[in-house]
Amino acid sequence: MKYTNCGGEALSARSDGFFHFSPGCNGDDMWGGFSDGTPAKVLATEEQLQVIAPKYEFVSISSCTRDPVHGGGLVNVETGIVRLAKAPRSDGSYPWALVPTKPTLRDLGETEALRQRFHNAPIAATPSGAIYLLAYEEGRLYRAAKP
Amino acid sequence: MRSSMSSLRLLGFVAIVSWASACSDKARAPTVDPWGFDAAPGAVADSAVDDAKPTVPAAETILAITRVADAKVWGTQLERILAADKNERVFVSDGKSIFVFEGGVASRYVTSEDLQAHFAVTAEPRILALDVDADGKLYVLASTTKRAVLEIPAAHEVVRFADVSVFGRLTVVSPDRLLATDYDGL
Repeated sequence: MKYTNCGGEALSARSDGFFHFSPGCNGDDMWGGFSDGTPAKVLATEEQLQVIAPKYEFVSISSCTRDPVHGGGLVNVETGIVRLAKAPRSDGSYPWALVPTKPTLRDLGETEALRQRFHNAPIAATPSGAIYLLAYEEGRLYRAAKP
Repeated sequence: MRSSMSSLRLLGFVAIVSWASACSDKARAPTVDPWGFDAAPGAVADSAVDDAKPTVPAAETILAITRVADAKVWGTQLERILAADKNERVFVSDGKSIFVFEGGVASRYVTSEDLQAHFAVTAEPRILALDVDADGKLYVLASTTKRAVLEIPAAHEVVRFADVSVFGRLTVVSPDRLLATDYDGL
C-alpha cells in the first residue's frame, strides 16, 4: 500500500480480529476485514455515506474505533457519528446507521467555533456506551452519552 | 490509492444498502435487531435487514454531547491521538507525553523520559499512535531514529513490546496481537 500522507488515516480492530480502515484522503472509503489474510472489502463508500448529507450537509471519513457495546465499529464522519454493524447481511455487505446525537456534530462544530469542526478528530468508545471525540487542535475533549 | 488497495488483495466492492437513509417514509422496524442491541453477537436476521430501513437501529437512543475538557487541562498542543478504556479513562498525547483524563482531572501518565529509556539514542521519542486493550493496558507506537511498540501497564511503567518499522496508526486486537499501518500497508 502506498503511503498517502493523508491526515485522516484511521485504523481500529475488534477483539475477533476484524479491522476497520480508511486511508484518510478526501473521498476515501471505509474498509474492513479480518486480519487473517482474508481480502478486505469496502464497508461503506464516502459517497454512500453522503445520504445523511441532507440533514448533516457533508460527510468525510475522519476516524474510527471499535464499538465495545455492540461489537461493530464507530466512525466519525465529521458532521455525525456512524455505527457499523458487527455482522454482515447474507450478501456480505455491512449495515450502517447514523448515531443520533444532540447536538449534531455539525451543529456542535459551529457553536464551538472549531476551526475544522470534527474533521480528522479521533474517536474512542467505552463499554459504558460513551463515545469520545477529540478536537485536538483546540484541545477539546467531547463525550457523547445517554443523558 | 487504488494500487494501494490492491496490495491488500482486495477482491472487489460490495454494494452497501444504506440504513442511514434520510428518506422520509417511515419503514417498519426490524423484527430482529442486527446491531447487537438485543441480538446475540453475529446474529442477523437478513429479512429484517433487507426489508426495513430505519433511520437508526432499533433501541438507539439520542446521545447528549458535552465538552468535558479543554486546552487548559492539558496545557499543551495535542496530537491526533485518542484512546479510552473500560474504566472511562481517556488517553491523549501531545506527541511527547501521554495524559490520562479520569474523573474530570488530567495528569501526565507517561513522560518523554519514561519512553526515552527504551531507545538507545538521545533523541526525544515521538509518540505516533496508541491504543488500549480490554484490560486497560496501553500500547504506544513511538519513534526516534528507531521505532518500537511499548506496553504501558500502569502510569510511568514502560515495557518494550517489539521493535517495528511501521510508522502510522496502531490498534490492539488482543494483548499479543496488534495491527499497524505503514508506508507500505497494513
